[in-house]
Amino acid sequence: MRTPVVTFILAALIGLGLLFGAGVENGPNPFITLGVMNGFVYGLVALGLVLVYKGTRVFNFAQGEFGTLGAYFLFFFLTKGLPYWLGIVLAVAGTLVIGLGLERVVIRPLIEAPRINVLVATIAIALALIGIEILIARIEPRSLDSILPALDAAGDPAGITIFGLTIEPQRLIALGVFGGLGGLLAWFFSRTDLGLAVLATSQDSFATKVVGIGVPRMSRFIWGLSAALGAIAGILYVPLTGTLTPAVMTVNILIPAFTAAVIGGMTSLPGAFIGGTIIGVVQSVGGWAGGHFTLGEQTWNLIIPGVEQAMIFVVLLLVLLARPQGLLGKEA
Amino acid sequence: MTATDIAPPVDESTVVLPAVKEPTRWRPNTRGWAIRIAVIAALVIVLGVRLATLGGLWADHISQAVIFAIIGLSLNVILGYTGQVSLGHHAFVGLAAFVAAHHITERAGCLPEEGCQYAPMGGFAVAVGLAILSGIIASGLLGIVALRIKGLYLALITLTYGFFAVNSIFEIPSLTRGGAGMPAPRPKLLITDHRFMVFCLAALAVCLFIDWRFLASRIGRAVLAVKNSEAVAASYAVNVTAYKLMAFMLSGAFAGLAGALFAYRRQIVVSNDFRFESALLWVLMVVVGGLGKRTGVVIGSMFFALFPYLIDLVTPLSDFLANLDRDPEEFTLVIGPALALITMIISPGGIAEQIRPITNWLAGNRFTMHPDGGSHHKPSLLAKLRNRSAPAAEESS
Amino acid sequence: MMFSAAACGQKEGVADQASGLTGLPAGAAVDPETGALIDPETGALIDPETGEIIDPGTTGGTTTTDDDEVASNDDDPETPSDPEAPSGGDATGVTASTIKIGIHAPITGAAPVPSQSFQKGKDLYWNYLKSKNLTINGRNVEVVFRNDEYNPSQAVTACREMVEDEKVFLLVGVAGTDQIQACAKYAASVGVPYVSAGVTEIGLESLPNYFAIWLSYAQQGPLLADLLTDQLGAVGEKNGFVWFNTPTFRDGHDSFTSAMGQKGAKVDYDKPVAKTAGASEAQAIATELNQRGIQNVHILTSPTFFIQLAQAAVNQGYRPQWVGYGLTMGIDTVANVACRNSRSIDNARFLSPFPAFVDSNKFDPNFRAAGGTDDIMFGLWGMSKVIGEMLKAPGKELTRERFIYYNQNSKPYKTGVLPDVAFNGGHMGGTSMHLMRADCANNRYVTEASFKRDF
Repeated sequence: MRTPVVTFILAALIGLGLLFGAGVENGPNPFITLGVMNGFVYGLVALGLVLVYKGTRVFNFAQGEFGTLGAYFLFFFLTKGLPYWLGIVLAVAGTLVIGLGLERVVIRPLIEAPRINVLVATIAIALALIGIEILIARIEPRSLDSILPALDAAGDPAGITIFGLTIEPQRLIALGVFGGLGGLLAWFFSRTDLGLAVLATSQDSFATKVVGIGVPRMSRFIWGLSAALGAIAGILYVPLTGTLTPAVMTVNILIPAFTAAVIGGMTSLPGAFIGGTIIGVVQSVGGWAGGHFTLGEQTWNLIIPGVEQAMIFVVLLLVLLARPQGLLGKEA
Repeated sequence: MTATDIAPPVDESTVVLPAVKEPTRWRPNTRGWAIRIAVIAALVIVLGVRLATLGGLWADHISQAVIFAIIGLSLNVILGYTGQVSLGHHAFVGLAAFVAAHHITERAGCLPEEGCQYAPMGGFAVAVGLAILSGIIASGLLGIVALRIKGLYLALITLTYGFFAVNSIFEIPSLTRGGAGMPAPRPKLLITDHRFMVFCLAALAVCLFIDWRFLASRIGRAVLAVKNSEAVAASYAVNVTAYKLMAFMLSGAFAGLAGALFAYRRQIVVSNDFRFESALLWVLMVVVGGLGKRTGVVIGSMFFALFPYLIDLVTPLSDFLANLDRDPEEFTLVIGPALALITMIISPGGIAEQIRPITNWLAGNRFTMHPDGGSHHKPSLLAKLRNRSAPAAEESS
Repeated sequence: MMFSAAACGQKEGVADQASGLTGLPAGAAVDPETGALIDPETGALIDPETGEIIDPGTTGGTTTTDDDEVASNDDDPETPSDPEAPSGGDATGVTASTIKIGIHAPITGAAPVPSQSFQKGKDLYWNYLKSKNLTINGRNVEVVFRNDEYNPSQAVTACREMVEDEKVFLLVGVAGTDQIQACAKYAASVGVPYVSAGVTEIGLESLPNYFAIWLSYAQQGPLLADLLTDQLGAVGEKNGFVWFNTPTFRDGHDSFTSAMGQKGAKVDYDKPVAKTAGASEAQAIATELNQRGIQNVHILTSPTFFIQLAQAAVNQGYRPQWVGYGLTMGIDTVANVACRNSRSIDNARFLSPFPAFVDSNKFDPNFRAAGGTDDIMFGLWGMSKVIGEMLKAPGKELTRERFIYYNQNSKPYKTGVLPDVAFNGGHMGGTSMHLMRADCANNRYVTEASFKRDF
């Protein structure tokens, strides 16, 4: 019930911000737009985090690296001359296989272990994946092609402009995919037997055993799905940054995505997107304010570096201290 | 020997832990003690001679390993004793390192660009003290947050704090000189790598002693009780809040000392030294060492620090890597996590568990390959890490 | 305007000794790609049939084709006789037949140099000399290498290892300001000569052992301001400057902004960025630049951050003129990554100490003949040539003290790849720069101008 209300308040706040921002010279409007756009990327990664948390009550620190892995797979298949769509299919499939393998080898043996052990295990997985990326692909940056280039054949921007910001085709595609996947998952968890079974597993593993739903099967399903979601996020996001490097998704996306998921309540799928939007806008507008009020007066000794990172920490701390169950969560 | 193995007899009047009646202990005879002492003495002498004759670079590597060991002990207090996870320890260590470097250059006025070669001894002592203090304060603040936010959420807070500190605080040029790094010249007494190594080893010894006394004290046992179950501990009149804070502050003090040593080891501190990968690796090295077991933690941490150099010693391996055009250091990020996963899945007690027969024997017990089957049976601390909602009843041993 | 060897009053190199071909300029060599001949004086390509100039090449730069200019196989090398020169001293790393030198560079970190090119490139020139039986006063040069991880504290460790473990005679810093500064200071504390890329001058200009072999950032500032105002129309346009907020960039920052002011151009957007900045900061800065309509942007960051910034900008349909100092932005790896997706840095212009790889034959055909296959190797080749000259300067008796003395007071070194180097009693030996332009149609840089002292 709370979801529409929160969504409405958030939309109204953003709208008001844009309205007032329009009158400001070098104002925040492009930054608000940028923040909303980034928010959807955070939201999709947060979705994977929420999924794993719903199913297994664990924070999956490897979620970001599933994205990097997907991007590297796609890069590899593209250099082999495969068409883009086939590259995407194979990259998602490859990440899926690795996700399933990790679930079998690492997560399943720890299924009865305390949650914090599983958390440490996912940290180990993330670090190992980063290490393998460094060993195989080297640390030097690569370039991952966009689905559609940002400039058309004539060299003009190919995107559309809203509120002072031109949005490139890649991001528009990403938006569509993220929205579609979000809707699909929401439907899946509320309307299908399998989806409801997954939720049941997360509530009480003993009870589900009694009614005949295999916990290992659920665990496998959840990890496979979140690995695939992670890969899709990576494939869509990495071309936007221009550089494919080891740990790119963990460094740039995982922390804001976690924060988004926590703001959303860790168990709420729409909450993941709402949280993503909030953190995206706060981060971006924070960056705008940090630059806006110090530029032009040679006051760069006063600049607080890394405003974007600082905003995440502050938001997360405030949310957890004030409302540990998040905006839309049922329990902490 | 580890203090958790030999819990001192419980004073029945202060009900801190559910009293476990100590059965009469087996003790070695005089000859048994003599052999044990001889073995320890031989170990100390061999290690001492080896360390004294090390080349300068290896002394530097050992210093690094010792710093890792102190960081491991620091994390062990939070992970092993309080049962919480800190993924932002690079920020605590880094903060202390910058405090130490900042004090020596900007306050004590030893600026290398103005020709200052050696830090004044007084300034050095104050800098180390300030670094420890900064660690205590930062970690104490985390402890306060940890009173309300726990488990996975606390881990997340520490991680975001780490990113914030490294990208924001550590990049303020007037405090840290941005990317160029803050110099941290050593005092003349510690100028060679050998002397610095001895200093680091002494610091480690102090930390081990404090850690041992801490855990053996009433506070230490209370902290363990709190970890197992706050509700039960509180019902035994344990001051949950104060003891938890003390554990966090002890961890911060170790982290602060490690930070100061970190700064003076390289004599220059850069925010880039404190990457989130390090914090995560440090958590893993404690897991590999054995949560809550200080001997294992020290060995595990040193192994993680020395691993790339050890590869270099094995010529066929280092040649193989050179042919592949790979740096041994790059393998730490693969081998470390792999070891941690193997530990967690196969042998949750970590290195401490593996060397238990030996440490047990040295501590004056019968030699047995299965010390857990003996009278001092305790489930491994890792197995005891439970989430908050888990029932406390199954924790008691 | 243009810089030529003669105008500088330099001694002509030995280049005009002997090429076997008759009727052609002395020292002419054959471009293996086109079959054209190369004029050693101008670097121009000459049609061998007609004698016509095909490509004027390097606007008056020097080109060398003869090995003798750098290394001699003379059994009795001429030992400079200077009564004030120190005799004897520290000859660590020097044996009767070898000189050991140590290089540090980032092959990991935010400005990674492709490690395989580096591993091959560091020895390329010295192996070439060996294959031709050429020596540095009877000695061969052996190179050891350590990764500094683009991190100053790691750089100090790396340099210590090379000095203490490997016993190198001198240290070389190829790229990375903070790392070079940290390592050079360490080298000064142990009396080891340090041959450096042109970076900051802060804390370095007073070190007795320090030798920058091309223009420092402070010296490149006016040159870049010149380029912007005279060639790129920066006067009356909006100009921006995005730079890593590290104290070692302050001199490069100040010299650029004041030179812009003198040329009548304004720096409308002056933005320091934390060295740890990532993709989200890049997005924010691109949006700010775009919003303010900045047309020319001087970028002084790590290449990775530059690529992210350029990508974030082009994503918004915003394409300013990127310019900057040498050297890491102007390497082909950067063009290869940044051009691939959306050609984000097309026509970006960067000063550079060495010419583009594609033009290498115009400057030194021996490079490709020796097996050079990319620009990293070409840069190392150029540096090695200068270092070879520097090692030759003290004569047969090579000690650290004599190396420092003779190089401070030597004749200019002309090697044809790097601009001429002359220390004139100081420590900054650079005289001019090349100018690179990103050619995104081919994912590479091309040399737009060479040996420029102004524009």
